[in-house]
Amino acid sequence: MADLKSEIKCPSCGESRLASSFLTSKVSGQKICIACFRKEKKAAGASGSEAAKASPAKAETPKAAAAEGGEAPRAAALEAATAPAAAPATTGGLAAEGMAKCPACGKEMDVKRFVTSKKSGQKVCNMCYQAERKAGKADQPAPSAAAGAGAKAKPKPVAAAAGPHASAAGPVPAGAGGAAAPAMAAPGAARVRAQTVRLRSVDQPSGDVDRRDFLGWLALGWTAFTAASAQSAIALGRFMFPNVLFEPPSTFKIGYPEEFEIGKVDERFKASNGIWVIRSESMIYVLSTVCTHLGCTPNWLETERKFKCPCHGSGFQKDGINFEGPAPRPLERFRVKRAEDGQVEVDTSKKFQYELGQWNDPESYLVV
Amino acid sequence: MTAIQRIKQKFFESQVWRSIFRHGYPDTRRNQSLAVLSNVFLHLHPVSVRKSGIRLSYTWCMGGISFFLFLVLTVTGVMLMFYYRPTAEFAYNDIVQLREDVAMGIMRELHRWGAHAMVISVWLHMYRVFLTGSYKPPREFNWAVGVILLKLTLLLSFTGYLLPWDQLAIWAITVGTNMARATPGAGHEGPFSSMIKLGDIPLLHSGSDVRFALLGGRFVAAPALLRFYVLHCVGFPLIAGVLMAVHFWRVRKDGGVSGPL
Ligand code: HEM
Ligand code: FES
Ligand SMILES: [Zn+2]
Ligand SMILES: [Zn+2]
Repeated sequence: MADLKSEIKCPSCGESRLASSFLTSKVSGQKICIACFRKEKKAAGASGSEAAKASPAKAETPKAAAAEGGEAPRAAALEAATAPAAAPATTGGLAAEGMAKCPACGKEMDVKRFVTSKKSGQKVCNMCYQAERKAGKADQPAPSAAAGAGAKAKPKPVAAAAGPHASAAGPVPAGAGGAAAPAMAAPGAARVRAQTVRLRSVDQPSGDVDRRDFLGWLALGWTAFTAASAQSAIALGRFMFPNVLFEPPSTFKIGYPEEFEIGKVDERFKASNGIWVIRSESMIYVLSTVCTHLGCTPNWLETERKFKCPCHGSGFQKDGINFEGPAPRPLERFRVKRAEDGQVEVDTSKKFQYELGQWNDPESYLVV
Repeated sequence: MTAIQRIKQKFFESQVWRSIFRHGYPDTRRNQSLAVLSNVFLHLHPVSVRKSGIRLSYTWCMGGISFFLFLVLTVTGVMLMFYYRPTAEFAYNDIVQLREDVAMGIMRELHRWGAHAMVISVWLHMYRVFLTGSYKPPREFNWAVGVILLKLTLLLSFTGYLLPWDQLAIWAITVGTNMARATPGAGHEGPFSSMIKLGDIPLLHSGSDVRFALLGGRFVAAPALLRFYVLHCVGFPLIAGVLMAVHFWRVRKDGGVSGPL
């Protein structure tokens, strides 16, 4: 057999195509290209009869035959396929109503739940039938492998079962049961087989995209989708960071040093800029109004000469050192300097922490 | 047939009725099952429940009460949205107006008390699930969904707390969101924050960390109010609603409420 990746000529249309896309024709039994195969199938479907629909199911049989080197006995396969459908409906020896014993598992069950086994041809209960089907499926080769390698394809048990099936067929119960009975008899099995047919045709490669190509496109599609999703997630993340803030600027002038009284805590910039300005004998320093416990704003209590936080009671001295409550460290100080015009300029983007020894930094105070 | 019977028949056999209800009166086992299975809301619920599953001493009905409270909060919350404006200028006054002037302004009280109650009931529900060992297989996944629902309940409570825009609200959220400063690798005061820099320029500072994104600024101000409002009224309820559907569906799929051991 030719390598699956090589190109071979289709005997039907003469075109060169990938070997992996060849299927066994149901008419000639030859390997033909998928396009021709579909054409052929369409033509078969157009004839419209139940038999034509069922026939692809038996395709596996001629395929196996073809692989063995023989001519495809299409007519025989068709006959086998249509046999159960054409055969008269049967109750398989069971009454149309009431209870019966399943020969396979021995359970008593409503006869309505009995189906003809494909192995024994006997009527078995629904559960045993399902188990049998499952077991049967497990040892079948994958359809695509069968199409490609052909030679190793096994005949399907479906067709083999057709014989005993037909032989098990009895006469239709006459009268009122005539319409209802078939539901539980042979056509029931035919219906199951029709489903198998549909499933198998889905498994076959279709169109001009073969399985390998399809997987490639699939991978590409998912990669693109993932990339696009990741990108929009990042964009959404960026969206949450505003570019324009309606907050006071971090660098601002607060007036001339003489405007600050020695020994006093100036609260004029507390609400607008979040700072206290304190002038001692020798220098000016700027304290942050953010409590170092959890960020509330303490109040300056002039009579008690301390900053007191209303949230959990932390207390700070005038220089910012914590002395009571849960605050773990002193208030922070901000950069302060003299601007060119002589005013005091504060920069809240640069902070100085006592516990890190940063209060010694000359930028953290202004000598006056 | 009396006239009433005829009218009844006409009504229940009309195309309109039949197009909506695909089953008969639920007085048979089959119709009872169909009533649940063919309803998009009810089908999240098991068709039948074990007797122990509805015993108050087993479930405390805390999951059910949590869900009921969620519905109450959804309805009252939507009503509040007709009056409340999420801006620094109006928020506080609108709350006062709801309390003092709006007819049925008690909706605001219901919403607030309901929120407190839901936090409690969800915790108690989790406690019950723990006590009855209902987190064990096959219910591990539903426990995980539950944990997310708990977080969402707390987040709903947290975001809602800011909306009155009073001192309590502002400082509670200030304190609460300050925790975000310490997020490892994402908050500007957290672990690894000093390592995230470009040469000398720190990339993670008070104007670029997670807290900044959460508040829409460097402190709790008008942008934070708007953000919390959107999350509170749309974002979190939506996620919670979807997860509740999953939660109930999983109760059904895991064999209904667990039985006593
Ligand atoms: C928004 C919050 C929540 C709502 C509305 C909710 C609702 C419910 C409801 C109605 C039930 C049915 C049984 C009962 O009522 O006790 C249930 C069961 C369950 N919930 Fe929740 N729940 C929530 C949060 C949680 C949390 C926080 C956990 C745990 C982390 C959790 C874990 C579970 C588990 C494992 C079950 C199955 C219990 C069993 O089968 O006995 N849920 N939930
Ligand atoms: S925030 Fe100031 S004491 Fe807690
Ligand atoms: Zn061809
Ligand atoms: Zn059986």
